[in-house]
Amino acid sequence: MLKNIEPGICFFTGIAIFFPFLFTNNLIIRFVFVVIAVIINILTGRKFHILPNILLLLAIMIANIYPPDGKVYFEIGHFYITQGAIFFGLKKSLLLIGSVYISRFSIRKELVFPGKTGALFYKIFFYFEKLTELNLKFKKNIIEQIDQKLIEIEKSTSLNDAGKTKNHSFNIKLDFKQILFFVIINTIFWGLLLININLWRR
Amino acid sequence: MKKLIHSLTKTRETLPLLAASCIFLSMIEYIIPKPIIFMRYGIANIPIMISLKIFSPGMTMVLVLLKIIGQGIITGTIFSYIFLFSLSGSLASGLAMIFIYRICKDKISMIGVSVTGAFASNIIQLTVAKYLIFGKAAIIMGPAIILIGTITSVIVGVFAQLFILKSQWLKTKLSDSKGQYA
Repeated sequence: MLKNIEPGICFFTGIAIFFPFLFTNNLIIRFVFVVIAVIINILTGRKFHILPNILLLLAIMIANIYPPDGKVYFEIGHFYITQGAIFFGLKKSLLLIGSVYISRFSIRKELVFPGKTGALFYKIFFYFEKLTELNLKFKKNIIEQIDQKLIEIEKSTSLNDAGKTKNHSFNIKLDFKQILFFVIINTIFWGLLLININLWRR
Repeated sequence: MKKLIHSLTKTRETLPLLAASCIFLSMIEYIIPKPIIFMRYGIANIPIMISLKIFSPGMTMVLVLLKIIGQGIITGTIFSYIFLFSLSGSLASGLAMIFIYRICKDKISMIGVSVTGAFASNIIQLTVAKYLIFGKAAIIMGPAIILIGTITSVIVGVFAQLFILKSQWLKTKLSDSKGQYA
């Protein structure tokens, strides 16, 4: 649905929404941010697996059980599972998971950075693509196969042109859809931050 | 002067190739299941260990930075807390590996270099984990992370050592730099 959104638009949208996400302290609003971040990742063609996120969420929550704080829900051995500790663990895990998804949404390997640094990264990703063509056979000598691939990559003629063939600027093609996407996502994030500030004042 | 320009040009080709290798190996590492969250096997450090033989310490640190940023771009975690783990661990291991290699030179194998790098990386990452995410629970995970990290770093070190001994590609690089930094 949003797969043709420009990588540059994703980058600037990601930077703009990262701040409201970071400064939110309300658990529900932070959860909403995470859900939106996951949705825009899926809509723009990124994969989403729920199990690693649940494991991460549980691991961080378990790690933050100590020290106990607030109302005791139940006991496991000598440990008190308290409301404060659960909320604290949830907040931390949502912060981590959300930041990962906002970051994944903003940074795509098709994103071309301007200038010499851009050219260097273009070259790195050019070589990376070449390396992904390496089909390792575990019955053969692995070191020899990698070695051969490195020699082959360096010898390839197109290699000398790597980093020169692309125009190294952000070069974003702005159309109505791209601008609308940027405005809607930012309105939601910054709007929710304002709600969060109002809730916090009360 | 001509020699210097030639060597710089060669470095310009080798640096992105090694950085790409780091990212490629990070991807392989990403796929392999891990018993503990945030644990790294360190296979992406192999190109950095190889670079110790052909690059100056400064260039090796540039490679470490390129690895960190490249990894962050490919996995998309550059704006996340995960990136802080990667940044701190990689910088610590990079500095430790350069330091031990500069001090011991040929008296240390890549296994020793790898174990030193892994130890530094794990200590720093546990510290970051303690203050950012896990709190005191990070200390409980400490011994397991350091133990597994040491075992995997020995395996990684053996692989790097074998690669250095057998690689034809590296031989051409070493003859280009004529052991200038090694």
